[in-house]
Amino acid sequence: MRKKLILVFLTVFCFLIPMALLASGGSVDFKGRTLSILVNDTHVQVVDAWKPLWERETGGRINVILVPYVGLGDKMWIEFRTKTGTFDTAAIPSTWLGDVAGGGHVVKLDPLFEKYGYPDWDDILPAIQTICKWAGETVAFPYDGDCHMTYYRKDALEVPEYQQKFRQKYGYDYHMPPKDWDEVRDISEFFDRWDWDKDGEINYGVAFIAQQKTQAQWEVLNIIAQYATKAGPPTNTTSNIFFNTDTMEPLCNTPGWIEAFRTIQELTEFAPPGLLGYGYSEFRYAYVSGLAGLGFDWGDVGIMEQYPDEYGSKVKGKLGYGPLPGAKKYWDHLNEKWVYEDHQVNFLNFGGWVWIIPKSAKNVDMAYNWVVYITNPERSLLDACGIHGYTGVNPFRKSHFDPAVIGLWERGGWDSNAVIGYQKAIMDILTDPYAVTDLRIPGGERYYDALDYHLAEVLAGITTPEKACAALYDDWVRITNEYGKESQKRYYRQSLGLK
Amino acid sequence: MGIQKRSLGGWIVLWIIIAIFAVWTIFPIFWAVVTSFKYTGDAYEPTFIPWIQFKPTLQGWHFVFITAGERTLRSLRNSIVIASCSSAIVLLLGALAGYSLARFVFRTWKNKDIAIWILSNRMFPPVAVLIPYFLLMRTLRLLDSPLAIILAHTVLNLPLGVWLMMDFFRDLPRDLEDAAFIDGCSHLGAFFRIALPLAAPGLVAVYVLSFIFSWNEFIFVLVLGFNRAITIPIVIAGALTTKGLEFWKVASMSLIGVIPVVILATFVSKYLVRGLTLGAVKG
Amino acid sequence: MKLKYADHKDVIKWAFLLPCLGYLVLMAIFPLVWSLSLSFTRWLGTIMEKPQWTGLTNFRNILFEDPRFWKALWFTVRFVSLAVTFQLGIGLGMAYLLRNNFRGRSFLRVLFLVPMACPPIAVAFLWKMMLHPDIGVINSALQMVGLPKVRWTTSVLVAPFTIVMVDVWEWTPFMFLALLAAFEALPVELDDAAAIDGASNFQIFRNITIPLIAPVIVTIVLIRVIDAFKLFELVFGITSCGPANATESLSYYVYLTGIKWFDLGKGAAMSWVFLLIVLGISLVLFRFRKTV
Repeated sequence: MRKKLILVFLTVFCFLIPMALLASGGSVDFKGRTLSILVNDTHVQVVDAWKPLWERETGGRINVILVPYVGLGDKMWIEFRTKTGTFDTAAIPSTWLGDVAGGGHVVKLDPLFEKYGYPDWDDILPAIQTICKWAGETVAFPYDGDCHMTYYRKDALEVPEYQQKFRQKYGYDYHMPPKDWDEVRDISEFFDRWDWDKDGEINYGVAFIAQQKTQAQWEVLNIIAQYATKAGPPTNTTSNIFFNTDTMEPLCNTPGWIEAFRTIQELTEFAPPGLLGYGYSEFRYAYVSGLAGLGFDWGDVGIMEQYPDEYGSKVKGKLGYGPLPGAKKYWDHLNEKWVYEDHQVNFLNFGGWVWIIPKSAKNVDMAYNWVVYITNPERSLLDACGIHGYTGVNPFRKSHFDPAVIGLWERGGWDSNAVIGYQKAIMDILTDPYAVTDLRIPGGERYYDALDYHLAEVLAGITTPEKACAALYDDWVRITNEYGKESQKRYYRQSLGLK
Repeated sequence: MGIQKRSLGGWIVLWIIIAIFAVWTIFPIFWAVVTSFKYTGDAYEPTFIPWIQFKPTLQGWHFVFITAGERTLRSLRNSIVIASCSSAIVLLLGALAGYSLARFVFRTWKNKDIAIWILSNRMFPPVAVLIPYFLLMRTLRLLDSPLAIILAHTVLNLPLGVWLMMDFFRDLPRDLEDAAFIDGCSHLGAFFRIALPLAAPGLVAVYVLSFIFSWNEFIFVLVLGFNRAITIPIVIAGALTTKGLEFWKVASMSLIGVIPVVILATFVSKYLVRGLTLGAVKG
Repeated sequence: MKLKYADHKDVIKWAFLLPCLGYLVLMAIFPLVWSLSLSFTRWLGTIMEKPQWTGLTNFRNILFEDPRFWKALWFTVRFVSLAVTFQLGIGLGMAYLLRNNFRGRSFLRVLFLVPMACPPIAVAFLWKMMLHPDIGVINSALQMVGLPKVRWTTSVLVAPFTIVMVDVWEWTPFMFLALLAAFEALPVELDDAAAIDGASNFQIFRNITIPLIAPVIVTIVLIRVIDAFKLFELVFGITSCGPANATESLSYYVYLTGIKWFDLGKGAAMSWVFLLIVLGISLVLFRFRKTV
């Protein structure tokens, strides 16, 4: 077994590296020119890794503009508004594309693809292709495949003794990973506040991101996606969770949303006491240090799990991975009734980071070359599989899941069984053609901030889900009116691919 | 002040109160210093004594000066340039206006009204002018340029400069200047040769105070800065990243911002309260 | 000679004053007027090139349809009053206790500079570290002496007080030093004379000392109130407005609206409402200062 692995590994390495060098070598010459790129601290590792190589190969120089995550949006908008050409390309969350592409601030890429060529576009997973498009045109480069997934502790859920006790208490067997949010609730309650991993410290049932102004809204959207719609080609009733596509009425006051808010409020009772202080860093620290049984996060937890020294992981090899839990019912907002049906919806949470080229860029050709260079199959694999450590990049190409490259994942610190489970979980979500996409219309950040605002009160238990949803509805109506109802409706329909 | 008689017990109670107050005041800084020499696990433990309780490491400082060195040094340079330039403008305009208000009588508007109007410019919350500043600097193509931030910080500190200088000049005996006039000196001459040298401590105080405030200012740099013009507070704010709770980075980064101004402040400790109260209380 | 002196005077006094006034008009008044004119427009910076006149819509929107604005205002007002009260109380008490000369005074004076001189954003991050609910040093220390952990930054009830506490840490020394200076400036004989008349310590303090230093108290309270209203960095660093928006300050909300979301019209209107509130409160305190 080991011999075979080494063989595969060697082939891959001997084969891939020269190919990588060949793929882009020598054909361009940027001598004497400087490319400016805007990144936030999460992605600077990727940039640092490839910058020297790229500079050597193309002769160009790179000026890295590094900003903290909180400042990224501000800085990007300054450039869009002033058009001074401060940066040539930037890595941004795809969920901003509503404002960015809707406002016409970025270069459309289809002509560039034709001019310079984009190798292996078909290698990009369909869901990631979708998020790089806006209103039918490609406006961004794929770079990262982001989706929330379920993490569970195998040393808790797989113990037969616990399973039996659970059956006695709740009268059924749970699935691994949990099949729907009712199961999540019961499992969280069952594994809450006792030392099931026998390390002398109290464990808790569940943990997720819940701090304000970080990314808590995506945790509730995981649940909303299950209760507010069912999977299918996007229409008014399927794979649509935010607005009525005919009237642009927010759906956030419907029973589906309220049910999701109620669920997440209940889950806070089975979470560690510091829950409301969990931003992404705090949550990930807490989860890989073995505090909770269930967790819902992007692929990053899986990477951090592999590094006991750097990220203090105490759960290496103990995590199971799966898609988001589904639900036993969903709200049909047209007929205003619950439909009882076991189902599960995938949600492209945050949608991943993408690279964009602003219209004011001075070096479009260099920017194009750079992004294609770092996101090509071989290089992006090194970023995604953990060899470069925690880079914020998660797999987004079919070739990242190729069994032939599993050796690289192992070199990134993974156990071979773990990586298969991890890959399958992500693959299932990203290849789902009916996955719900993020809200991508102008003002997207404001809609989400309002959601975050009211969600925070629900999580803290100082308001009821009903009241929060009603207040959120008012906010969303106001934002929609401010931006113009008709145009917002047009944008929203476009973002779903509706005429 | 008279020396009151206190019993021994009174003294002990007094000193306990002082000690508590002092520890409470200095502990966060002490803790930052300790944390900046820790790494991963150690940083989350309540241990205080290096070598005995934990193994000190230069990881945090290595990050600040080597890994992120270019950024740290650039922002340090920016901080120094911005703070010293804006303080220089504050000093120049403040000394002139302060002298004028202290020595001459204005009739159409009273001296006091002018002074209070100047003071009122310090009252508005900085966020109130963020949007127009942003638009203005955009029009002038000054976004992400240190000049934009210098201009903004000067507005923030100018009222302080005027009031403090006015206060210092008032304290100077007028006779000396009057004597100079009789000797045939012009007003300009009297100002430069007599008044300014006499007010030297005041000038230093104004300069250093406005340097400190400019160094510490956050929100204008956050909005007007970008990459070339960022200062230390922005780098501190960026020390907490998505990668986890790297306390050692936060601690060492914060200390970079804290140490220079604290040292500066000790030089003008006599004037700090006077400066902060705009001359109303002579500390 | 005298003639020259008088002639000269008018030129000089204006030549000295005008640069300063000019600078303030250009860089403070003009931006404020500009922002006032923007506040009557609808200007969504992300999708619109030019502002659009809408009259009072923004103000109506803020004052009558935006509970979040009121919540932020309420938090800010509570923060200001609590923080300033504590700072004044502790500062006054300490200054009174230590008003007599004692050794180590100059040492204390230097020590107390530290919190005031620190960049507020550094203060925020240092405290955020210490107050971390799971691994912060303060909770670890509490646990060691057998007390329960406090959810400093994650409890809706505690978090606002946490912000107040950090501000008290930062600015109590200011109150203390200012009041100490005020006590020092008092004539010595007062205490002795009153003591001979048989007045108790507390009576002396209430009836003689306090009225004498009242102008100083009102002045420093005024300064602190104005500054405390600017609260931004502590909230930005320690709680990022959470939990459940319990610590969203007005400055932060204005920043979010105007800069982060680029809703320039509403942001400008909001900053004007904010400005008027601060101005109103300052005027009241200013009047009060004149009467004492």
